[in-house]
Amino acid sequence: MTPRIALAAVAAVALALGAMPGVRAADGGDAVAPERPSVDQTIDRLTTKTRRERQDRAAWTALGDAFMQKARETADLSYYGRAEQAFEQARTLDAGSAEALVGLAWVQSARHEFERSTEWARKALAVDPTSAAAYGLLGDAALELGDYDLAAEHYQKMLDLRPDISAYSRSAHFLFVIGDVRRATWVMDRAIKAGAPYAENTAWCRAQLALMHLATGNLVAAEQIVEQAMARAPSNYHVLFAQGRVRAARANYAGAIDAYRRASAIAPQHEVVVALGRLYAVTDDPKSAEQQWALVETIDRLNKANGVTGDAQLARFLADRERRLPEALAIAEREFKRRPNVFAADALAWAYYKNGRYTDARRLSAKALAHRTPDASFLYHSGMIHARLGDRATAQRHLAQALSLNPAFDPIDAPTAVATLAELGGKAPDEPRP
Amino acid sequence: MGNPLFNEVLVALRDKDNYNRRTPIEDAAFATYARNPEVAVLLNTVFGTSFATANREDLVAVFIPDVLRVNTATGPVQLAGQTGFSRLGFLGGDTTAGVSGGWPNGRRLGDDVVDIALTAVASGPAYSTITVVGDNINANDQVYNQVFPYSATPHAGPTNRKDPQ
Repeated sequence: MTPRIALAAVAAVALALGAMPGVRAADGGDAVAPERPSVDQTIDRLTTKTRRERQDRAAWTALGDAFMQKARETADLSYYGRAEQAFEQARTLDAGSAEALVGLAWVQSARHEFERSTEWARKALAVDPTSAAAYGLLGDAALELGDYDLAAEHYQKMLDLRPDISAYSRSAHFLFVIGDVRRATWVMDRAIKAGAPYAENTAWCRAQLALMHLATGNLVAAEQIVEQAMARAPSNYHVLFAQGRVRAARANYAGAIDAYRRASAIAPQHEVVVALGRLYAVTDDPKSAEQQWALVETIDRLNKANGVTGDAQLARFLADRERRLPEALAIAEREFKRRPNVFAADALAWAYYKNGRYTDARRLSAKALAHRTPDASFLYHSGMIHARLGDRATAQRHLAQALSLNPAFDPIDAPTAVATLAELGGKAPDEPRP
Repeated sequence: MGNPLFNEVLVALRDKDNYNRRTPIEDAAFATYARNPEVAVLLNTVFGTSFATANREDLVAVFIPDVLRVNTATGPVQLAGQTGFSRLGFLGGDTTAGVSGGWPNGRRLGDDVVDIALTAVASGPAYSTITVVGDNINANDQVYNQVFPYSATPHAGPTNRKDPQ
């Protein structure tokens, strides 16, 4: 499973791990009730129940939901299959069960099969036009497919129907992607205060909020939120990942490596393994870095084995590492064709750049920047592309904007941006344009 | 005038011209505008927030008297475009010897004074929870020079074209 993470610019993962599609708030605030059952307890209870009463449709959908939650918490993608079976079982018992249809849409969304997810969600809405969860999944699909107007419509519908953590957190992510950071952070704060069925859900929102602040250079705010999140959920993958990110931004690389390693031990996901590898690379530990690079490829194979598609992040990884560049380009092209969102556009731009196709790279980079997504790496990529094309003014502007947005956006790329900017600044000025 | 935003944002309309006629030694008369910031009241009214609107000695310390202070005891700070520079100064983790690299400790080209000031209004006087408030403009549209004269090259007036992305 790939988490929803806007900042690492890992493409095509944007909403796969969004908050649960139709959660019921267990409490009104974000206080974690100690008696709240863990997902394992819920799975045990429901497994026993469905064994005894095989006709209990509600129990089957609840079991499917619990398996999906388990997948979120462990990154063990095999739970998608088990969730799918449970939802299918519910649908066999009642073909018109909106919950079962939403569940199936959710499984497909998690696997990045957004067309199929949309089909199921539409079927669910045909049965129950007030299904907020179905609108959420439709919005996720639209967002992934780069149709931001449509995504806005679906999310608004979801908010109108049921303003809960799922609706708020999705809306916050959407606002972030279209560059409205202030409202995005405000809405994510609402998500945190809305309460959640599992502590993990709120911890996830806190981690995302911290990453949003970090993406716009608000390091102290990000640190404070990570601290609050660590106090409540010290062994949550997303919180540990966010902690690693803020520590890396402080150039506390040893501390960041420690946080990433703990996150990776809980759920070895693409983003954390890549982040860890990059830190090993800058701290002069190439052997450990190589281990992470090998792990990235293993994760990719596991994703595919479990039916999870979505390769823009892999394309970007290969392009960054300058490995199998033609393949990286082919992957990125296919990915952008299927899901023309800003993250896929950025990955393709970078793959073009690394393959020496600078004009194509510029075209795609403009698409990545079109929505003013506050991702410094988009601006960095654009700056490097324009520098190569000899457009010094634009290159300088975009590199400066990247550094202004988030001066520590990446341990490898940020210093390159500084060096390139200095180099461009040392050249003779451009001829004045007519 | 020394600090950005004091007269623009904090001083009430009726006193703006009056304030402009005074010298810094008379600024104590305007301390109430820093201590009880109207902008915090407005933000609370519009957005339903609960930012502190009274006893803001943190703002008084910066704005009264309204002169731009700079700590010359530290080494040189980072400039825009250099490693470690943050447009948000201390809020972005940009400190030198524990002192903010930018405004309100002096003022550098590239310091996002609007975001810093509004975030300070929203987060003080305790600063235990930083509430980020800003204008969504996170960079200058022109690049600051790394050498003298440091400020950005002015826009070419005659062409007057919209800046291409």
